[in-house]
Amino acid sequence: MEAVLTTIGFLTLNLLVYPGFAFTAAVGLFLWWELRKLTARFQWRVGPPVYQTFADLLKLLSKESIVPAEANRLLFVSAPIIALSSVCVAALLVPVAGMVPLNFAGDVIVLIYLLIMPSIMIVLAGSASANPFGAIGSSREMNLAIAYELAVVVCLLTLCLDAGSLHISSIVGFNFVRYPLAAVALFLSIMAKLCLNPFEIPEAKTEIMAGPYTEYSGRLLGLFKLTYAMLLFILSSLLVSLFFHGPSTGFYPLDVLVHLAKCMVAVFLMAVVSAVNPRLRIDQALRFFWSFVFALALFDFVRAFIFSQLF
Amino acid sequence: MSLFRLSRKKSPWVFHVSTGSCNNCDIEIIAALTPRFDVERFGIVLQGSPRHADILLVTGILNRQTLERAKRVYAQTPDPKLVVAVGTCACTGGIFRGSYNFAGPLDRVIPVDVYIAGCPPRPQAIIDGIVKALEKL
Amino acid sequence: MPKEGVLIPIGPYHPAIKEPEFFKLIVEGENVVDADIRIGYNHRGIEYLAQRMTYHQVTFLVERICGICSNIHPLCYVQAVESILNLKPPERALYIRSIIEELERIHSHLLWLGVGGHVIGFDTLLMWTWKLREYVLDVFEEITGNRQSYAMMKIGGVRRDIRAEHRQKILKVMDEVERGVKQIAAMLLEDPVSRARLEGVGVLTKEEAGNYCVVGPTARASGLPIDVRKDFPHAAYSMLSFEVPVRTEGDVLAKTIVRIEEMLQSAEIVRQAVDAMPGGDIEVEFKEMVPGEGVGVAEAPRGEDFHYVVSDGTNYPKRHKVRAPTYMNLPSLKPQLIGYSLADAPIIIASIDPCLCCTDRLSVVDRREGRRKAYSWDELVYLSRRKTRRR
Repeated sequence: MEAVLTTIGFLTLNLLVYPGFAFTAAVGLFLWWELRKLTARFQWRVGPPVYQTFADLLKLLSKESIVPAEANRLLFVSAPIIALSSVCVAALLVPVAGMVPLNFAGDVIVLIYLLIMPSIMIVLAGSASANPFGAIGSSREMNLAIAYELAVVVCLLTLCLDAGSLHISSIVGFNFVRYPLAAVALFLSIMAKLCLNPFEIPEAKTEIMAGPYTEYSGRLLGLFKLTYAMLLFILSSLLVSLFFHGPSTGFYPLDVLVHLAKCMVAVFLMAVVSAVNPRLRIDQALRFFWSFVFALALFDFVRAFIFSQLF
Repeated sequence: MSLFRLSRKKSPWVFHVSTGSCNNCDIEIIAALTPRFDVERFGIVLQGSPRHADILLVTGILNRQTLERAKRVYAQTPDPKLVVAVGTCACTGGIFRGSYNFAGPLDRVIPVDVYIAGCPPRPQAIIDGIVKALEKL
Repeated sequence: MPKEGVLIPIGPYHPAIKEPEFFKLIVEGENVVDADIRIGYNHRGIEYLAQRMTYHQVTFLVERICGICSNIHPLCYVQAVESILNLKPPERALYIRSIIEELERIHSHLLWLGVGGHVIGFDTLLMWTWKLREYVLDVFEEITGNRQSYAMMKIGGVRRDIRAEHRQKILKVMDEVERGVKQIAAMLLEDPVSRARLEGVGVLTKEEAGNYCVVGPTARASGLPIDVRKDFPHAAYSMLSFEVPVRTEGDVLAKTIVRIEEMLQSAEIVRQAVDAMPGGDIEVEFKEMVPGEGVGVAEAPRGEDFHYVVSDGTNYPKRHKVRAPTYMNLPSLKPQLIGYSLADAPIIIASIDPCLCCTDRLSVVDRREGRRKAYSWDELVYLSRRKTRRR
């Protein structure tokens, strides 16, 4: 009985502090600032100060949240909460410097499911807000999600097939050497998942105001922003763990710092790609994902399949 | 609570409402975002939806078409919010005061917190006005 | 409004267009099947006000028709008044007018290029072009004292001289502009993603361009070589040599290239004008207003601008009519928009460089359908009575 309680206590601590909510949120907001600062520097600007994303979040949390009269109240309010909680749980499943708090058979499948949740919630939020821009944003997000999710799944399955296991801890490693194409495909899919520039289609400001978020304000908008900041860290962390998990120094906190530095490099690459590209049209983005990105992922998947049959 | 107040001052998101302006003030607002002035240094970001805004930047004379819409945009903005009248037209009507389509100065319709005079005000003046407005938050 | 399809409002407040205007797009999925343009949100009664101001005051009023082309409207107006008076400004004033007009074209096209980049989500382009634009504004500030609304035009000449010490600065900035524009053009036109967004989008055929009587870069990108500076040379253009860039494709890319080439031409014109500028006075005085009517035309960055003034010999214009270039270009958006995707709509709208504050001379009253009226009947009656009272 006591052992069970201890496990539950540790898990709660994991969920709320490390590597769950508090840690992921703090690092995510920091990475979000890095993204904004780098984008500003590429545009010959000075950019925001380091506390900017924290200030933005705190301010949003202190503001009034307006629920439009015609909106579906239940969906409108619950969508950001569900998105945030699924991301918190996902934080437990993504290895940080090789350590995963929750470890069970098939956790890769659960992780894939949890990472789709924010997209689904945005689709619901957009359609619940009774706004034409929200509706268009939702349909774009849905189209885009279908396009990039497949590439994400194929990338993860490639590594699972290679390791012969559905444990996420068993597929961590420096897999970039063996499956570089899958890494590129995952990188591009992550950019689409995060709505970064060439794929900033669902919330294209100059086309559809703010897409699904058009009617969101105050705390509810803050929750969405926080979800995205955490997702930025979780996804770049996933990319680093799966493809660039380097040699361990033997001292865990130092490993974590190295891991974070790698995440910052990943964000740097995202900032470069998003600063030098205009936004794609939704049909162009779909073509890009279904043909190019999916082909990259599939190529490595077939290779992994052949290897697994041979050896 | 004071942490929240501090965060509001450090992260003013603005929404630009043109109620019938000649583009001059609008351009200077955009110019304030660009490299020479770069208001993102102060956390000022131009938002696409009034729901996300803390500060409304209103430019141009209020005319009969935009009167109702200005009121609606003000209502759509979540509290706490501020209104900054950018340019002489929004403050008083300026050169267009005698026109039949002029629906009164902005402060007759929605409460205005800061008036920035000038035709057009320079980007420095606009930044100064927003910073002055922040003290009211 | 058709039953099928979703109505997407672009405006009155929309991040892609900084002015309050309203485009109703009927979309099916992402495809635009119909478009309706409503203007009137920016109507300020300028022609009415002009009839209540003296001739010199009107120069400053028309300057505030539009902040981007804030030189072209005064230029057209003073030309119209000069044609009533048969007044010939000194040659130096004509050169200064040309220099200001070309500098304005550069600043306006740079602004457009940035907004176009912003509209397709290429914010880096916005930042780069607007940084370059600041140098041009510096020149304006040095010559005229203002970043915008230069207040340079005056009936009979110009208000301020371009002094010898300005020459170096102007030439330096022109070199800067030329280098910057070439760099930005290379970045934009050689990028496959940008080309994918611009090429083949919003095509306006030569025939349609002719039917809709479009003007300016919109016409020149569709293969119509019309330019007031060549066709009816005003200011000092008959004494300057330059080319009018024309493309035949008619899509957004062609309009972009035409504007980029025009900027390079303008830099060249400014260089020529600064060197060829003769000495002498910058204005001639006139004593009495004479009855008559006059027109002034000039090539605004967006196309042909036209002012018509009637004088009855008093100090106030009897009638003042403005026809801004966007007024001609705006209806051509309908054939350009239909058949393209919703994501293309903002860049197509932006591609004609709509200056809606120039355009709102009258409000549209559609009598067929009550709810589409710009004004209700009561409001119109009220307005008309109010107008009578003001006299």
